[in-house]
Amino acid sequence: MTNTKDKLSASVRQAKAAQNPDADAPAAVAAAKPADKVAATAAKPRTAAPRKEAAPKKPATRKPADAAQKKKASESTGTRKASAAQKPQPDEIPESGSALFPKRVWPD
Amino acid sequence: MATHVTAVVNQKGGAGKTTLAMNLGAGLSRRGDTVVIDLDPQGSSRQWATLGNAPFPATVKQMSGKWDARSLQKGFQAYRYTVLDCPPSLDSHASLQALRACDIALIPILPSPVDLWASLRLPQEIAEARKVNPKLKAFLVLNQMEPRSALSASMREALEEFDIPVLGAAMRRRAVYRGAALDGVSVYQLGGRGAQAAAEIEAVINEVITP
Repeated sequence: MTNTKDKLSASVRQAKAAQNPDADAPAAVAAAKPADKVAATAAKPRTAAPRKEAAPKKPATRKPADAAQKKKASESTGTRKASAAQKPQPDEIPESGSALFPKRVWPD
Repeated sequence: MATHVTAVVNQKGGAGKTTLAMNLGAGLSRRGDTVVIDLDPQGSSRQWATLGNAPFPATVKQMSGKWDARSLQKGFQAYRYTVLDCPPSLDSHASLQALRACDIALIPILPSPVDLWASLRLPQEIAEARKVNPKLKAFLVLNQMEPRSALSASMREALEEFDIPVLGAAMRRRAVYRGAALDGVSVYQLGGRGAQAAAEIEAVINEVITP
């Protein structure tokens, strides 16, 4: 019963705060639901605009990273070539011929 | 002699405005000539009064044409008591003028959180109306109370948030209130079947209208 009383009174206070956000700002913020938060961020387009202006600087900082990545990529291809060199090429595979299957193994 | 005007208001529909207004009208008619004015476009009070064979004890009228608080008080000054059954909206012309014209505003409220939340604007509206009508007194009336319900028991405490006094008298959830509407009569006319409900209405009248 006390629980119901508390819940009911709290719900009234919360609804009251939501209807008068200026009167009790902290309570209203605490009571805000996710949907309200989305609405609040959507209502601030001007704060997001400067970030867009600052955006062109980012590619400049990314360039070295890209170059490093390319360098790494070339290095990796080099190692691959080296490893490929160690392996016998298809042309270099010796003809086994009949040596692998000596005639003496097979009965006449 | 000026008529004593009681407005039954609440922006929430289904709170029991017409039930309270019509039974108040019947109770007050035992004390003097009483008119119930149906300000709700739904016309529920008028419909109530036209049902059944027995005449409703109070006169029931509907407002038409242009009117305001002053013309309302002037037009019904022949009656000792006037009860205004307001529409479920505080923004309507009818509700605003009713709050300006009345001596007492009774606000029926159900023991339900949804009804509480929907009625939170009432104190502001009452405060606004008092700027034009300083004599206005407003009271919350608990309606459809259920003695075994925890919500009903919690209502008085929750209503302390409203800054509007709550009447000690309350109306319980009773089938006889709905039955009276169906028969086109008040609970006073139902004999023993309506005695407890009639006692609740009497308690409301004695607490605020004719103390």
